[in-house]
Amino acid sequence: MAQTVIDAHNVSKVYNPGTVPVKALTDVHLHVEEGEFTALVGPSGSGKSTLLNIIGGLDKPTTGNVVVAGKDLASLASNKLIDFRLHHIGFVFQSFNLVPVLSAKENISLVMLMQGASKKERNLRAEELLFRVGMSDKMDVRPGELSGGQQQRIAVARAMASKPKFILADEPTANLDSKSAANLLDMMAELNREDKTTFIFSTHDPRVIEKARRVVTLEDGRIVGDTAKTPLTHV
Amino acid sequence: MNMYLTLAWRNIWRNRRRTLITMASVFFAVLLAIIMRSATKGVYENMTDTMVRFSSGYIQVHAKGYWDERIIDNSFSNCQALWRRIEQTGVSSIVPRLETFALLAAGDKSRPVAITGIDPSRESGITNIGDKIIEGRLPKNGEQGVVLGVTLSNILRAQVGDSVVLLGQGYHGNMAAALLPVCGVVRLGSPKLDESMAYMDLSACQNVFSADSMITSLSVMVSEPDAMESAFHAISTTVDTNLYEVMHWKQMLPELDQLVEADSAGHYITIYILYLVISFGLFGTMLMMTRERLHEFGILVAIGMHKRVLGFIVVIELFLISAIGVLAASSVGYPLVNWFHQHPIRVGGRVADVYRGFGLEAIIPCSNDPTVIAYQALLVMLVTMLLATYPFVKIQRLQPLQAINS
Repeated sequence: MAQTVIDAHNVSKVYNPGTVPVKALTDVHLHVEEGEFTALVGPSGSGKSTLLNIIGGLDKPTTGNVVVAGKDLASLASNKLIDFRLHHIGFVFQSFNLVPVLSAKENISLVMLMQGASKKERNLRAEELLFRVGMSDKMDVRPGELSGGQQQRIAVARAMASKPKFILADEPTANLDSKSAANLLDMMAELNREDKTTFIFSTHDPRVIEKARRVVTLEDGRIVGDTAKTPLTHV
Repeated sequence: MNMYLTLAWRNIWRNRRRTLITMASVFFAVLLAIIMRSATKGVYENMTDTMVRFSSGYIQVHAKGYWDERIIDNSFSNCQALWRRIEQTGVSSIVPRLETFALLAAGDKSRPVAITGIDPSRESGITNIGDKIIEGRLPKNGEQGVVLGVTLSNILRAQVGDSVVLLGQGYHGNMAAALLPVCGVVRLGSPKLDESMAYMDLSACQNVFSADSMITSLSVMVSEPDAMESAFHAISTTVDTNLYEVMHWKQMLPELDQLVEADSAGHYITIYILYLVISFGLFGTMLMMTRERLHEFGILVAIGMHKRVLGFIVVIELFLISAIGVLAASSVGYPLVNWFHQHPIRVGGRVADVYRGFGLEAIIPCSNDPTVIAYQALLVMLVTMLLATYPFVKIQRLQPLQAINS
C-alpha cells in the first residue's frame, strides 16, 4: 500500500479578499501517493502554480487544509515550515534559480549543508546526484556557464539532495527547447521509476503531459479532470 | 560555516565595480580620519607636553593646601624619603622647585615677578630652559644670580652683568632682600611669561627667602602622556595625603585641558560628518544588494534556508566590504602617520610665528598611537553593523512567495 504524501482537502484560495477578490482555487481536493509522476495541467490562470505553492508551504489556503507527509501545514510556524520544506519538499523552478556564485556541486551541497550534513556526506551525495542527472563533467561549473537544460538538471539534483518526500516542479520545461525538455522529462521519469521519487509538476506543454502517469486538469481554480494512465502504484 | 563564508565572499564580487567603489569610500574615509586624528592628537600632545613640561610637569606634589594658597609658607621640606617613594612608582624624572613672588628693581624701574628656584641641571633635562637662554647662562649650583625673562629684562633695562635688587617676603615672615647679578636672559615664547618670570638656583633661592631645604613643589614627569593616569594613581597611593597633595596637569592647567577638549570636539564633529556621508554610501550599496537579490532570497528560503542564516550571510558580506576597506586604510595609514611622527611636518611663515609665540616648536607631529587607528576601525565596523540591521530585519520579514515573484 503506497503512502500518502499529499492530502489537500477542500482547498480554496482567494486573493485580495478585502478589495477585489480573485478566486484562484475553489474547493480543490487532491490526494497524491508516494511514487506518483503527476502533472497539473490547465491554461494560464487556472490555479496550477497557486496549488503547487500551497502544497509546498509557500502560500496559505484561504480555506481548507493541506496535510503533507502526515503534517498539517497550517499547524507549522514560519521557522518550522522552513525546516519542513528543507526536509520533505524539493523545488524545481521555471527559471532554474540556482545560486549563480556557486558551482553545480556547491548548489547541491548547499541544501545538505542546511540540513547539517557533513562535508564528506555532502560531497558524496552531490557527486552521486550529478552523475544521476548526467552532469558529472560539470561539477565545478557555475550556472552562468551552463545551458538552460543543464541548469534545470542541476536544479532537479538540488531538489533531490535533501531526499525529500516529493518534488514540486513549476513549469520545469517552460524555458527549455524541445530537446532539452524531452531529456529533462526522461531523466525525471527515470528518477521516479528507479527511486520512487514523487514528482508533481505544473505544465501546459503537451509533450510533458504525455510523459505523466497521472494528469490532474485545472480550470478556473477547480479540478475538472483527474486521469491515471497506469496504476499509480505501478509506476 | 565555511560554505556560507564562501557564499558571502563570492556574493560581494557579483558586482565587482560597486564593491570596489564602496570599499574605496571606506578606505579613504578611514584613512582621512586616521590622518586627521593622528595629526590633531600629535599637535595636542606636543602642545600639552611643551606647556606641561614648562609649567607644572605632568604631576606635582605639594604640601597640603598649597594649590589653594600658593605662598612660600605652604612649602615643604625637600626630603629624600619622599623622593624615593615617588621614584619607586617608575616615573621618568622629578624636579624640585621653590616658587614665590618678589619685587625686582633695577635703577628706577621695578616689577613684581614670579621667582622660581630651580635645580638647573635637572630642569634643563625637562624644560630645555638652557636652550631658551638667549644671552648669558643659567646660574651654577649655589650661585647667587638671576635669569630674567626677555621682556622683563627690557622693562628693567637690566642686561647680563647688571644687578637687580630683589625684595620680598621670605619663609615665615622673614625679609627677603638681595642684590642679584643677572646671569642670563631667557625667551620663553609666551609674552606673559617673558615679562613676569625670573629664575634662580634652588639653593640660592632657598637662602634668599630663608627657606632652607624647603620647596613648594616636586614636579614629576612621565615617559609618555598616556602613562600619566597610572603614575598619578601610584603616587597618590604612595605619599601621605594628610601631608601632601598630588595633582595632575589637567587639574593644575584646566584651561589647557579644556582647550584641547573643545578643539577635539570640533575635529570629532568633522570626522562624524565624514562617517555619516560614508554611511549613506554603505547604506546605498546595502539597499541595492538587498533589493536586487530579493528573488534569490525568496528561492533560498523556499528551499529551506533559515532567514537568520540568510541574514547572517548578508551581514557577513557587509562586514567583509567594510573590513577590507578598514584593513587597507589601516595598512596604509599606520606607516604614513608613523613616518610623520618620525618626520613632523614643518610649518613655515606666519603660522610658524604663531607657534613660536606660544613657545611651541613650529611642527605638526602625527601621533603614532595605534589606538587612534583601532578606534577609527572600530567605529566604521560598528557603523557597518548598525547599518546591516536593515537587510537583516528585512530578510526576517521576507515572505518567500512575494520575494520569488518580485
